Order: sequence, then structure tokens, then C-alpha cells
Amino acid sequence: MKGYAGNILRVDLTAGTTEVQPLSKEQVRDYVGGRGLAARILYDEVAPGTDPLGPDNLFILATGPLAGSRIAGSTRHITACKSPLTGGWGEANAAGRFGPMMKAAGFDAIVVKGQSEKPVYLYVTEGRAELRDASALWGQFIADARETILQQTHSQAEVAVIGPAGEEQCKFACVISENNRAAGRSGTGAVMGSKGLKAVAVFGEEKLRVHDPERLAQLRKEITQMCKEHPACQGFRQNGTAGGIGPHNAMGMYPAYNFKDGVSDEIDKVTGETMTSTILSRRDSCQGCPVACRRVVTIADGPFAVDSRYGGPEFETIGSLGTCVGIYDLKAIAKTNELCNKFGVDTINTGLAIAWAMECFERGIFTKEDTGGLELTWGNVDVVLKLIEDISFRRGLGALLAEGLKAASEKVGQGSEDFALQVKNQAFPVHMPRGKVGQGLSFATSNRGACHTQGMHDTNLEAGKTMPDIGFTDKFKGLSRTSTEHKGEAIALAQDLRAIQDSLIICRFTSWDYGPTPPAMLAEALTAITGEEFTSKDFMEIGARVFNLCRMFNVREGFDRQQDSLPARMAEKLPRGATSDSVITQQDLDRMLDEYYQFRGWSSRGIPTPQRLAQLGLTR
Amino acid sequence: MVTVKIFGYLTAAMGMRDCTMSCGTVRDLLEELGEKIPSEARVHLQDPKNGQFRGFHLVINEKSLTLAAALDRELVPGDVVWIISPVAGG
Repeated sequence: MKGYAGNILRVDLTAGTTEVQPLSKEQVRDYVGGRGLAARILYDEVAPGTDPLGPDNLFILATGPLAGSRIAGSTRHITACKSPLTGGWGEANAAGRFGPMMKAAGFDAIVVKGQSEKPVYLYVTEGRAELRDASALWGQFIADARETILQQTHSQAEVAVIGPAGEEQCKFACVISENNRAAGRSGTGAVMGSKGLKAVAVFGEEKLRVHDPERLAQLRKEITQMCKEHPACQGFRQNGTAGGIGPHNAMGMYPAYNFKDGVSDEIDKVTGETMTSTILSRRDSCQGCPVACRRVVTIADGPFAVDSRYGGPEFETIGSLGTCVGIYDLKAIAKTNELCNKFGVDTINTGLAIAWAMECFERGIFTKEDTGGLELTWGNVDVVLKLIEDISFRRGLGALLAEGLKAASEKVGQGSEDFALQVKNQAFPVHMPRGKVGQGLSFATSNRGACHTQGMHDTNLEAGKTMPDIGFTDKFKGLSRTSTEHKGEAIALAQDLRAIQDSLIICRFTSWDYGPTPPAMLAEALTAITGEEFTSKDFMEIGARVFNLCRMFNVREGFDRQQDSLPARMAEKLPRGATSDSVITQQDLDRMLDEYYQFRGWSSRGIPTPQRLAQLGLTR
Repeated sequence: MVTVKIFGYLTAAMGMRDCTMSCGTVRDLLEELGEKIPSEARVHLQDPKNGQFRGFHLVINEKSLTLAAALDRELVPGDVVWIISPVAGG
């Protein structure tokens, strides 16, 4: 099978055994790889009601047929499991070397079940695998553990590793490779921790087998050139993802103070441009990618000195651990980023949990008695740094916050649920649904809870982007970012597109609609790699199949329309700025949900109909 | 006069952060702005093939407007126009 290693590695940590299983033709044809492959395995093998932190849950690493092709943005891998955070489909993906290296080591996916009696790590190389004692690594921070494992395996290996947050089973612990490439969301790191699995190391030198190398080389060259010339890609290169902060703030939708505001007067202190001119020491890129969006910062001394191995803060981290908690000091935010990566905890869930706790403190719901003496005032850097540690190690108030915002706010009550910015217990990323109304629908309906990467940003529709061959026709062109019109359909289409992108896997920034590469071109690349004919239409059908399968995983766990919700804050007007006229009321959300469910072929309760499942080949 | 401020990657592409312009419609302002910036930067403002304006965002006096809704709007002295690069995720 060209484009694939052709094997899945099965690991049983209870028995301490490993087994190689061939990848089936059905898995490849219908689900491609990455998210699709992981979803099929998880749906088939994790029964409803399974304890996410018990031995019967699976932890899956998967990559796709583009990995190893050196197409810009094709170096990603996915982590998947039943999420301990949401209780449903759990997924997080990351860029870097891990995905291509796993395939070069002989596997398209690694599926781990059971629980080990003592800490272990898995070393995978040349088509075989070995479980090794990790007792001495348990408790180590991300970079230290990675370094030790590289010494024990191969200097050119790559490692997906958890930190103390994963070991302590913080519900939003992440899995990190290359010290700063975080598969951040959904708590996949907690599942590794529950299994006693500290890390997975991979090393291999097997080259990608390609059906039509000449055509692939030509496409690779064209895609690279397109990325070099694309203005958004140039922007990501120049100022990183944080280059978007100034524009979002100008549109009144860069969240501040737990989403109470969308404008920050001090925003210039924390933008990507400011980072570039102050603490930025290096731009980092994934293999073959001309975008180079990653930041590395250097702060050599002072209270916020950072270990550069942990990278630099992104758009999301500057919002969640900066403006949302009232911090407008880039060095301090870089420190929060370093701690989260060091402990292995998601910056978004961490920041929004602290922001919620600060608002509870402001309102008198929390007193110093509840916080262990901490003054949870906005902008209190020392308290934020302390809470990152307490969340990661589940200490004091941190133990409550480590359960996720829905769980924490339901326990605390007193109306705090209304300003707990979450969907399905997954915290909001720092995008303002009141300023991107369709993004609100994305948050509500994403299978992994509030997620900004699995739907569409209304700004791209407002800016006039279209792609008729996959359904983005002129009727969406120029739609206002604050309008609900046609958003149900647009978001469903976008989610299906993201599902195939995450199955290939390809980065958002190099592919349409963030970046330039159209789905038809990626279909051509997949055809060149595998020798099987693919079109953009096939892509959307596969995307719909994968999205519906993940939905069915959630439906089986009891999810329906009730969980496709937004917190009450979204119906409150913002106090100022260019988004202050816009809200999302329950009626607005219901209108979008009705259109969305109808377009998807789901019932009004949000359940895929038997007819739709049959169309997608999902009857089993 | 109207104050114009530019945000995001357009700042670097167009080689300016802000300027003052004469009044008229938004369309007039954008066309005048096209004359002000280096010729190679005009491609970021207008598609040279069909003359259509690119898909940036507009905020006028802190109110967000789609480009289509804004083009024929008459600007008055003191208006503040923000031209914002297309942005999506981060």
C-alpha cells in the first residue's frame, strides 16, 4: 500500500505485550488515516460507558498518508482516546517530527490498551517495539524526560511524552513532542498517565513509498511556492500566530478578562509584532514548511527567565494566560507558556480555568479561604504561575480547576456556570463567538468540545473566500462575521473539510482556507502518493463520514442537542468596540443548530439519522 | 479629513500604519490609498485582474462593516477608518 507503512502497532500494557497488525484496505479507503483511522478504531473498540482513565480506554497515536511526503504542513500526528475531560471523543494533534518518524519506524498508528503496574515507555524502531522501565523518568519534566529517552534510544529519535500533569491525570494534560509541540486538548496526556505510559519514542529510516514521485515532487514545489507567496503565510512567518492579535483586538474580539471584554487598551504590549521586536530569538519550522510559524523566545534573566527549549507563546496562550487573566507583560506570558509545556498541560484550558477562578474571586464567590490564601486578582502574575503548578500537580484550588470548567463550576454553583467559558467541559479557545457567530456554532457542535480548529472562522467568509467544488459557493461570499445567515451549512462543510485535513494529516496554515492549498490539489497529491484516484468530492465524503463517526461515538455516550450549547455569557453585550452590537442568544443558537442538523441529515435532537449513516457507510 | 489606520500584515505589505485622507466614499478612500502606497503593494488592496477590492475587514468609528456594505458610504471629517488584514485562527 503506497503512502502507508502498512502496519498498526498494538500494545497491551496490562499484559506487557506488543503485536503488529496489518492496516486494512477498508481503513485506508474509507478513513484515510489520522483522525479517521483513530475514530474507526476507537468506535469499534471502546464500549460506551468505559472509564476514560481505566484500562479499557485506548490511547491512539496516528499519522496519515501525507506524512513523509515533505509537502508543506504534512508533518502532523494525532493523539486520540475517550476524553477524560469531555467524556466523549477525545483528540488533539500536533506538528513536528513525530508523525513522519513514526511512519519511518514502520507504523501508521500505535494503539495502546491496558494499564502498566509500573511506569514504562515504548520504543518503536524498524517495525518492532519494546516496553522499557520508566520508573526513573516518572515525575520528570517534559524536556528532561525527552533528553533521557533520546540518550537511551537514538539521538535522532522523536518522543511524545507527558509531564507531571499527565501523571497526576489532570483532565487537560497534554502530550508533547520536541518539547513545545503540544497535542494540547481533550486530556489525551491524562490517559497516557492513567496507563503508566510516560512516553512513546520512535525512530526509523524507512522512506515513504510513492506511486508517482515525479508528480508528487511537482505538487510539492507548487504548494511550497504558493505558501511563500500567500499573505497570511507571510504574516505567520513574520510575527507568528500572535500576528493576529492586533487585528482581532481592532475588531473588538480578542477576549480579555474572561471574555468580559473584547478590547484591550494595552494590547500593543503583547502582540506578535512586539514579540518579534523584543523577546523573539528564532523562528522555527516543521520539515519542508516555508511558513515557519513557531516562535522561540529567549529571556535570560530576571523573574521570568525561560528555558528556550519550551518555545514561545502563541496567539492562544497570549489570550488564555495573558489578556483573559489580565496580564499584559510578554515576558510573564512567556513564563506561563514555559511552565505549561514543562508540566505538560494545555495552555487554553489552564488559562480559562484561572480566568474563571479570578472572576469568582472578583464576585465574592471565592474568598481567600477557598483559594488557600491566594489573591486571585486580575493581572496577578505570581498567582497565575502558582496556579499553573497547582493545576498540574492537582494541589489545593488547582485540584478543582484540573477537573475542567464545567465540572468545577457545577460544583461551585452560585451562577458561576454562566461565565465558565466551556462546551462539553473543554474551555473556549480565545476566539470571540460574539464576533464570529459561526465560530460559536463550531464551538457548540465540535465533537471534542469548544474548538477553534475544527470549524470555520467567519472572518474568512466575510473576506470573500470561496471554494465551489467543496460547497463554499458564492452564497457565502462576504457574509458578515456577526450574521447567522447560512452559518449552519458553512460550519458543517468546514467541519467535514477539517475532518479530512486531520486524516491526511495537513496543517491548517498551509491549506485552504487559512492558507492557499485547495483540497483538489491535496487530492491530487494523495493520488500521486497512493496510486488510488481521489477528488475533492471524495474528500468531503470521507470528511463527513469521519465527522459523523465521531458524533456517533458521542451519541453512544449520551450526547445530543443538550450538549451543543454555549454559556450564558455569549448572550451578554460586550462593553465596547466593533463587536459590541453582537450577541448569541439561545434563539440565535437554536436557529443555527436547526439549519446545521438539517443540512447534516440529523434529527432535531442532533442524532444522525439511519438514512444518513447508511449513505456514509456507517451502519455498523 | 479622515484618519486611516491599518492592522495586521497589511501594515508591512503596504508600508504604512496610518495616514490621513480626504473625504468622499469608502470606495474613493480605498482608491486614493492605492495611489499613496508603492505600486507593488497595490495588489494587497485590489485584484489587478478585475479591480475588485481584496477581502479585508473594515471598522469605521468602531463599528464593523462588511466591505460590500461600506463601499458607497460617505465619509465625513473626523471619521476613523480601520483597514484590517483578513484574519482567522491562531
